[in-house]
Amino acid sequence: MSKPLISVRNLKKYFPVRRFLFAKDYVKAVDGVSFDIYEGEMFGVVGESGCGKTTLGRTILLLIPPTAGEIYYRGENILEYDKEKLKEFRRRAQIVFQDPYSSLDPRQTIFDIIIEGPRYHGIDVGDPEEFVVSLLRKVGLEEYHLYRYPHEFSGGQKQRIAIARALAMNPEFIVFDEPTSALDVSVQASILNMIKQLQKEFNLTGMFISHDLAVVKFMSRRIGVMYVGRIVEIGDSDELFKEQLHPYTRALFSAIPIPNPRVTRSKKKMIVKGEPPSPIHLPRGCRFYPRCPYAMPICRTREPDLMEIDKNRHVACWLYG
Amino acid sequence: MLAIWVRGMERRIFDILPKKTFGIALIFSSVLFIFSTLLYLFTRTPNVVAIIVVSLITYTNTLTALFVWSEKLRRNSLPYIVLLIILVAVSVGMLVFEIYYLLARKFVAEIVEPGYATLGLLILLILGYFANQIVEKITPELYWRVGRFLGEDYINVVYVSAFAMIGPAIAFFGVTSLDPYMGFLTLLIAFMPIPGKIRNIRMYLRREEIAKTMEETIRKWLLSIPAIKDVPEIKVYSLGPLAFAEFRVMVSELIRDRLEVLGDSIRVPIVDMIGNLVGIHAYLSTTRDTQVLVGIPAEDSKVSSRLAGKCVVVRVDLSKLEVIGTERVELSDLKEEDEILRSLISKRLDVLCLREVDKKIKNYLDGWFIIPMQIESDTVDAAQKELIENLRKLIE
Amino acid sequence: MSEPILRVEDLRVYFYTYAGVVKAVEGVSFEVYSGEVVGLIGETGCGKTVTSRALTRLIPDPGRIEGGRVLFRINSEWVDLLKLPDSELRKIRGSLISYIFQDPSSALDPLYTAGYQVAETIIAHNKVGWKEAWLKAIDALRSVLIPDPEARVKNYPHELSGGMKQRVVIGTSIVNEPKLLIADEPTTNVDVTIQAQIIDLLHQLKNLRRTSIMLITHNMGLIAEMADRVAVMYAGRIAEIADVYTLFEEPLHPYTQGLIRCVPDPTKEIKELYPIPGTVPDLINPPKGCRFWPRCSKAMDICKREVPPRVEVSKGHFVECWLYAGGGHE
Repeated sequence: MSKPLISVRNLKKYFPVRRFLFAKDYVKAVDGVSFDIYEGEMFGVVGESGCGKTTLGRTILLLIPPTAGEIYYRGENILEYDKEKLKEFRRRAQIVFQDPYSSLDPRQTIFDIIIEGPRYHGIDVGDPEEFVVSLLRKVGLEEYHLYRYPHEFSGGQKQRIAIARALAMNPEFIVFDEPTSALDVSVQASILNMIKQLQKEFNLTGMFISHDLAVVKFMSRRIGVMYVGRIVEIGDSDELFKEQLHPYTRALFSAIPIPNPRVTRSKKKMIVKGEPPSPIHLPRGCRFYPRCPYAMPICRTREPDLMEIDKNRHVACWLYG
Repeated sequence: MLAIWVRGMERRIFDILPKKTFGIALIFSSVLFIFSTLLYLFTRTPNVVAIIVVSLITYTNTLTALFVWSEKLRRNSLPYIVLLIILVAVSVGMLVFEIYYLLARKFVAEIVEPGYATLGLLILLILGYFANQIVEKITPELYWRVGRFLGEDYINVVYVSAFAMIGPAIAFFGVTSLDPYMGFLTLLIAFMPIPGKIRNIRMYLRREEIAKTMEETIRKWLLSIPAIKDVPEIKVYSLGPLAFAEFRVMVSELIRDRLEVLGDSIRVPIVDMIGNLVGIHAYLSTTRDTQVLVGIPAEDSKVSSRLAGKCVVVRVDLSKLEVIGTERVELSDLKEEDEILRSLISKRLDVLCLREVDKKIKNYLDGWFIIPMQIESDTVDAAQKELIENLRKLIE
Repeated sequence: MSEPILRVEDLRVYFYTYAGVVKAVEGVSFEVYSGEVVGLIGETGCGKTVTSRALTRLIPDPGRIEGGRVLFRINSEWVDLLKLPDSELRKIRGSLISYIFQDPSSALDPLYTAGYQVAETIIAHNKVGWKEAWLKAIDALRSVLIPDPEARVKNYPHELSGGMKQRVVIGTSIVNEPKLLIADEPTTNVDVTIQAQIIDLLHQLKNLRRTSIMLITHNMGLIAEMADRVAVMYAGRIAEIADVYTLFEEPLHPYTQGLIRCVPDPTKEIKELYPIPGTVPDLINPPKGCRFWPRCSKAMDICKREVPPRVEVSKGHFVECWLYAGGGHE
């Protein structure tokens, strides 16, 4: 078993919200998250909107400063890095955003967009044009796209450019934040295939964030399920789809319509009542307690931490600890 | 914070609001009071009278909390009400006197050292802010509402000081004619928390009513847990805006090893339900003199190998270890695992007999203080005998 | 026995833009029966939304309905909605035929309470006073399973969660007992667990009130979950119509086959997805013949020259593809 490339321990990101004169409330977007990502694997993060998965992706790369917790890269706490080491980390860890329309600078050509990163970091790429062209080919674009502007491309092509830009830095780790959610299904299919293939070719480690369970399962080897700022279950993709332990994971998976009418109409739906709590005023105890069909008195009192149940299965639930 | 005494078959679970919170609140109030009095004597600015009054008022909440927390004092609350009346009366008196003084002298300026007055008020403002922040932060997490409550009067100090500063500040720059009017306004503003305190006194007079409602809420919650057989005593002391709860619950001897966990599980939701609780004294008594319900999943006369919808419920007299009665029960017609488990709770079972104990079900039963009992028998009759034996072993 | 309530025949909608004429809908025909859910699927630009709007002439400038008939059954008579005078059509829109759109936040006016908006719809189509309309509004909210409807009627949209808002929108749409409910991406902006609640709700509507639902979406899972029959649209034309099981298990049109294969099915172990090569065509200058031929692995000579006719391959299963029309050669 390989060692973890990235380890997160008790990571928190709170956004302050002013109440009145002196009182401050916090939106607890990420509220104590711990997990490992092993070298060479794609780790999926699923959850509904507002669960904090996007904030998590950005905080891990220090695009947003964390409020508390530790992030380890190859065993070193990156929050204690000096400027030099931080710059190096930023080169090795890249991100591909969800919205292809706003993540590319409309005033730069494709060539500029892709070469900008390596230039800033002083990376020797040999002949810049050749370098960028070879990257474009890798993501399925052509040489003649080199000096075009983003608005001349479709959504799918823009995402390919965004991926090429990330690859230009020769990264070890890429966070994919809902990269295909804004695209049509057929375009999505080709981008997903491409990411998988590139991951193998460049031996990349990745974090794949999405609300689409089927896509995450296809892309990831292990999946973490988030609920209102915490990870409630982590497991192997296949195993997780066969059996879910945490009651929220069960509800989530049973609610997803499967593109197969015989299967989806026969499966039992666990309809969960109510709605997720506000991330500002979280109730005491387990945050799923008000909606959980298995609620016990202790669930109201104390919040469970992630516990290792099996090899490769972690659950944060008093039913299993 | 949890303090547990053991005496025989009884556990006491105390919640104690640490003396630190009260101590610091008292110190802050005293500092504010003394400092503002000295400031007034030094500068003779009417605005500062407002601050003296407000700092006096900050004592009221702290004193209330102290009284409620003390075992002796909460039972006889006459001293509390007297103190409260004195504080409010003195405050109102000071305000009225100072307003009369201003009116009588027809708002003629008579300010000494407006510069120092401004500075002093600024210091009071900062002190008030820190008092509020610190008191809120050192209150234990479980009682954060009490911390807020204790700290809220200090916010009044901040607001009134800020407003009060305007008068002397203008005077400091030479415009002395405006200050007395500002002083008048400040005194009026200082009146603002006082009706609230008078309301507290009235609430005290209604304390029985308020306490009864809270007692009902707590009792309902306690009885919703099947393991709790009875709530023989419950008393809530309501003192002005704060409250203290004392109660005794009876549980069967079967769970005598888990009283701490039970205590933990019941006290936290109570504090959430009744936000102005300063503390809880809970007594958990175990007894053998009660009936327990034992569930045996069974189809006809054969014991089911797994937990399913049909069940035989055996009522057992725990003191005599005798079966009093049996009943056939349909646990749930939907056959979903979570529905079946929830119906165990609604049927108020104390024990569930199983041929094989699945870890998840065991955790659920433990979580609800139901005892999972592993049995070997495959007929209901044999199971009944086996369970009596097991119960005997458990109690001995 | 189910009978047809809507018949669309050879519908054409063109948009006259500065860049040219966009032939958004080019000869679309299908039927909707009472009490069924018809799914209309396709990717961006296929014309499904335009089709749904065209049914009640909700096409804004520079679009124009250039041909076809939209026959709607009212009291055992067939009425062509495209030829109805405006005043008559307005009576139908919002009562007999109503819409649910994608974003509930934009469908609700933030300045009015939920109850007001539902009651307003009632009053627009019925001769009742405000008091009665208000009571009906509360009932409508209850029927869409909004808890404590008496309190919710007084809430403003910003006080309601996404799921609640969508329910209010659905409530507004069904309060006048429509025969046909057109839902355009009703669950796209909503969380999965809330989506499940809304799907449940729509199922109940269909079963209890025999409302027909036209479900427009690109979400294959939603179609698999809800639709009875499905029409697949591509570049302004219908490629295939079949019942939902047949569509997923034995799709005939190469485009349908491509769609089914490129959506990951989490119950299976998939190593690779099969995207459809190429891109959607320019609808100002669409390809001659079958509009799909540039991306079709089975394209023949005749596909590039002539538009394939619709063929009923088996009962209720229609395809527009030369592979099944008996013309041309391999």
